[in-house]
Amino acid sequence: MRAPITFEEFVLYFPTLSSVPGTQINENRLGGQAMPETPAIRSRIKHLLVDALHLQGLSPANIVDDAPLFGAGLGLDSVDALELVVAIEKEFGIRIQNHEVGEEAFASVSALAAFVDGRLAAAGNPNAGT
Amino acid sequence: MRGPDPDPGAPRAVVVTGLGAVSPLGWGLGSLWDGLRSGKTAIGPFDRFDNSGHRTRVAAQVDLAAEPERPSGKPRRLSIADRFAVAAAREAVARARLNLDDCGGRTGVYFGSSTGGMLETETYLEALLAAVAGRGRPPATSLLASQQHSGPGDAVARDLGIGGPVQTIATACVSGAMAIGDAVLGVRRGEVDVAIAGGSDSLCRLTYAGFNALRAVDERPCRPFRGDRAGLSLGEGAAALVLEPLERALARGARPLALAAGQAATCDAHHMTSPHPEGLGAAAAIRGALAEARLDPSDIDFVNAHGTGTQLNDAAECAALVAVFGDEAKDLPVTSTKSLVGHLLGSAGALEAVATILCLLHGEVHPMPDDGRSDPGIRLRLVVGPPLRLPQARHALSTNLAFGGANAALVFTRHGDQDPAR
Amino acid sequence: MPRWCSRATEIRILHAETVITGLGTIGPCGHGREALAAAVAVGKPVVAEVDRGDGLHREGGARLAALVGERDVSRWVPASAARRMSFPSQLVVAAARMALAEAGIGATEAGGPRVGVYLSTTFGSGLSTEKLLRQILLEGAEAAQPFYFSECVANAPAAQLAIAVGARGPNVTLTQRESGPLLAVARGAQAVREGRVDRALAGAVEEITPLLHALLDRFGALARAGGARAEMSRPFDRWRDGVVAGEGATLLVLEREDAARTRGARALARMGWSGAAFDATATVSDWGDGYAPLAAVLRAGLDQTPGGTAGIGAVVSGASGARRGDRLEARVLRAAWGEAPLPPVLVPKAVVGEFGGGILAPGLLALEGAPFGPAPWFTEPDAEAGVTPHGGGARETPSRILFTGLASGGAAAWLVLERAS
Repeated sequence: MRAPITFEEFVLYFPTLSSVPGTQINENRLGGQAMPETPAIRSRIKHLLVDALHLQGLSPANIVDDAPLFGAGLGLDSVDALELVVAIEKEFGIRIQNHEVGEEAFASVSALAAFVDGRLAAAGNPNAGT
Repeated sequence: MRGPDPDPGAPRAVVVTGLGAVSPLGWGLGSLWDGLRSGKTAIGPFDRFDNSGHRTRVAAQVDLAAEPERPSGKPRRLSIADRFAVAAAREAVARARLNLDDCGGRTGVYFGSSTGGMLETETYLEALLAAVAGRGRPPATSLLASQQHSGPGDAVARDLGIGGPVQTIATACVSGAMAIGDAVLGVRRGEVDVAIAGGSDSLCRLTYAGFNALRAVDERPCRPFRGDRAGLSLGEGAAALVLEPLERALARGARPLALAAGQAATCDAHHMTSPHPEGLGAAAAIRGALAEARLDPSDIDFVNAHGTGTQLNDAAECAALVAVFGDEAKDLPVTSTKSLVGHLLGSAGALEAVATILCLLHGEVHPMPDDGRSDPGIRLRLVVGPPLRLPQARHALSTNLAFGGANAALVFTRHGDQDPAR
Repeated sequence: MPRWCSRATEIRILHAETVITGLGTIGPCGHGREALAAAVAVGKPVVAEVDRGDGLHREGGARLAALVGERDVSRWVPASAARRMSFPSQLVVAAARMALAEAGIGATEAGGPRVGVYLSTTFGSGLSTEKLLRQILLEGAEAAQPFYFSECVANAPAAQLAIAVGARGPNVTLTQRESGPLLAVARGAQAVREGRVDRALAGAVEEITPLLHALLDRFGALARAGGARAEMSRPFDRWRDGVVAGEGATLLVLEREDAARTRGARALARMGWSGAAFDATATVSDWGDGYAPLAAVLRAGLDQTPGGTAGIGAVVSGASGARRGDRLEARVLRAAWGEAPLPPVLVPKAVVGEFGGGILAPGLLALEGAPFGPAPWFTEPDAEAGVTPHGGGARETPSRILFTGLASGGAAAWLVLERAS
């Protein structure tokens, strides 16, 4: 297995991130306000990580909310990121555009949960805020 | 400047004496060249299958209604990839004025494909799943007859009455180029007197959805090497080349179109879907092909790049070209046929080899559409807008980089100057 | 007639200087050569029931396949790497590491720009393809998972192998049906002999999934039970009615004989003649009946091998129970040998099934003197075919064997191996 990549490498490797030079990930996309707690969403994401990425031997409970997903911790790479995108789309019924997948949203379980929660809230989904 | 002079250590000269093509620009070499010259892309809306549920909606499709004549045999059992292949091979053999009644037993077929009859298999499976769920009748198993990657190459061999070695390579995007490489090696070592090399692939749901799942497909027609490139475009079609020893071609009065001067294949051994970011494997393949051709980088007059239009491929390929050509890279004319016909996957290498030879013969590098802005990180002389006149061009390089890290490079040298597409 | 356009078929390529120094094999018989040797000594098919729970199989169709029983290859492929590999990829990496270990090549020396991969497969990762297609067809194209796509391409196992061992030379996946495995070994050997690589990892892999099995059966390719006859692969038998699908992987290490000697490595076998041809009377998915030109190519090749046809101590035949395939194979062999009697004809596919390069490993075992057991599946000879397979019993250890591989669709390939003294 390849050595885990650094966060900078992840940004470079992931095709959509470097596709539009100069485009910054818009913090306001997350609503520009403090997000509510999303424990159930976080738990579902952790299960997705283990199941969709075949991380055998890893219990969802052992994934730290704020730990980096890509890099030293789980050693995931760009294809894992794409797998996760598809899994999240299916699990939460949302659609993630290429340009939305970014360093902010994918930084950690917490960030991902906040991103998903924001999308659900915007769609008026009752699961938002859980 | 060294060229392919008589050199006792040089590999036996193998030449291309016939070309054939079926592409989104049309059936036949003439339509291909006219389309390439025009620089107008054939990538657009398509209906090979229902793409309404896919993430993107464009591809480059062959116009089936324009198929000149159907191959013999049981047409229901041939996939459209088989039909593309047979048409391209027939054209190449005809243009080469090759008499297969005479030498079919000593002729081989070296083909490439990445999905074979997958389109038809998808149709079959969809109907089978529905039938099992109580909707509709089980589909005809004839749809499965030519499912495999070997379908197109075998169809060519049966159609032409071939008796020599027949093989299909399925190494993703380098299959067509590797097939040509193997054909050159086969002719050189005498395992065949004549080789028909090429590739064929049709659009299908699997590759369309698959590349989209990798977020590697542009919603718009691809813009290779451009600054705002956002992914590849898929295409379909087939290409075929007739290769034989130079002496044999001359002895039978055939006109050599180009010398297949060099070939090489390598593997990045790096990642399953991303190329090595510095293009190390591609650079090694280019150097290998040049070495076999006994040429220096400075001898190359233009490059037909793999140029898919993804951020990663084009950056890696540019890095490879800069590594090999150094300071001269910025003046090296580079074009990508994919900008006009999309990525033909298993037949890309073959169609692009045909395009490269056509450019050599016409003394003109076909352009890419002038679409998008330039990328300051891509310091190559991209051929954009009008064709680039290069009447003195002698040597050209065609490169391919595959899913899974395989790389292939072919070097062709012009031989003769008549118009081959008339 | 100019010498270029001679109808006389000619010798193809001699590989006098290339040897096999390692064998790795995983198949229905188990992991490694000992398990395989035990199974071929007994001669019984190693088959299991295919899971027909999806309801895609037809009524009264085939039920069995030669499946890999022990799927855990963690001894060779760590779980962290296997996480992103389909089963065929895991099999290939495992078999290759097994072969490299036998060849005495350590992990740090296994790769480099002078190591090539030459792999044959018929269907690639059937499971990855199936899952991807089900997602596309049943859930919608946007449900397609990237991992399944990257593993469903035919060259995924070869690419995974390259990454696993760092092989940066040519990476070639051949898909020439039943001829593919022999072509892959021949191409690897040529690359070594002609100096493009120093070492080739060559072989074949196949995965048989329930869906693939159902489709093969619906297509009529598989043997089925009927009346008093059990479902079995019956090569050359009068009552043969199809093949038994088999899965597994076999990888060989090929290198120059002088390099192997310098390394102090033992050569398992030396490459002899290899050849390929095509029978244009074949149909899209079946065998033809153009045996004479094929036999001429085979005969011409053997005539340039020491001892000619008489020098072949055993034929390791690709016959697998296909009606027209076995008939063509028998006629080609008979025509090539002419009046002379055939040597023992071994038919490993009766034990290990069709696909997956199943005859490569048994052939090497035969060269080493391994006994091949009786043929309990063989009921009576077929006058149309005219070959009776080896039925067990004493057999001289051959010093030279001929592999045969006639493909549906028309391709043909042959390979001679000799014992390396």
